[in-house]
Amino acid sequence: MDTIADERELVLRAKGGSEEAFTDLVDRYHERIYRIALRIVHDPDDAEEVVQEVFVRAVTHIGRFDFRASFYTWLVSITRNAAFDALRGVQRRGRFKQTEDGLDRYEADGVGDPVEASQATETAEKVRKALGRLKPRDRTLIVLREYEGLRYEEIARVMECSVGTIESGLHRARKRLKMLLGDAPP
Amino acid sequence: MNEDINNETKDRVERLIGLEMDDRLDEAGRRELDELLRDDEGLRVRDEMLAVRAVLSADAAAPMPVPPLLRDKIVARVATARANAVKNSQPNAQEAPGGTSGEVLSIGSPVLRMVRSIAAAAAVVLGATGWFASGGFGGMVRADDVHHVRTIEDEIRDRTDEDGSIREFLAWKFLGADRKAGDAK
Repeated sequence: MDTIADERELVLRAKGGSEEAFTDLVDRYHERIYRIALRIVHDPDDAEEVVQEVFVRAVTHIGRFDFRASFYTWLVSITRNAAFDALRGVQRRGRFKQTEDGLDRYEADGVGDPVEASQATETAEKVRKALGRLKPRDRTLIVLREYEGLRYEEIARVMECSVGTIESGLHRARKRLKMLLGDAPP
Repeated sequence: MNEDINNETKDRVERLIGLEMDDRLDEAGRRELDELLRDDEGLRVRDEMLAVRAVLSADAAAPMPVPPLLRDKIVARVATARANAVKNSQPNAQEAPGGTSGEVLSIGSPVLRMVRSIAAAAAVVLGATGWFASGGFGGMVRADDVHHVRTIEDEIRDRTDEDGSIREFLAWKFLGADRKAGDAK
């Protein structure tokens, strides 16, 4: 079940109320959505909450999904909204981190295998910390483009803005990231 | 002055390299970039940008395991949400005491229930005219408010086979549907 046509069929069944079809969509996408959420919110617990919220919003509003974008792009749009909501919630509760605490957990203990975590290179840690210091919007642009490989048009749909705005935003985000990494990156 | 020019050049090289990395550089941009890369500063900026890209790619390829029970938690949350949605959409699931018509007083989301109660009261007291026409209703709930499981629009659309002046009025107000000639007057 990997072709676009098969996925369309699956989504149509889910729109028709099939729990099995929706669970298949969860199986297909939840790991990718979790990784995006984690890279945006930078906290494993918050990311877990975000990804659950994403699929709850998806099942609630799947009737409105109209195939103008891929189902994955639609999920990423919901992820972006849910992650930004989570970041706002964190700010309201006064524990806005974007700091090394959250990142250390994300790198070391939050997502499991300590062996894998210990194998993380110093460079990767430096990059993640730099990403954590970007503004959420800039960080999201970098995540969607550099980590998820979305096209500008898809990112524009997710961010609800024009392709030109994405182009400028990515330029700004990369410049800022380069600066945070030190002008000569690791 | 020289520094300004350098910063401008650096910025331009960064922008063009970014476009090149994303396969979005057109012919004119490529010519401009080739020109800028004749300069050592341009080459240095390009190397830095490519180094950042390489580091990001390596990070993207690195393993990032998901919590082991995440999938089950999602499925459970989705099942709960689905059950709540079904409960909320069942007509006459809970009829308010004294209600004579399930379609008007059946239970939806709390906001919808409140709005319906107000609508019914206003219809009785004011003949369903002045208060609605003042726009007070529209200020309380947006028909496209995605935070609610069922919107007013959903309700109206689901009940087009039924009669009722309030419903027709709402259809006219929010959806532009034709009102019966008698109601319009």
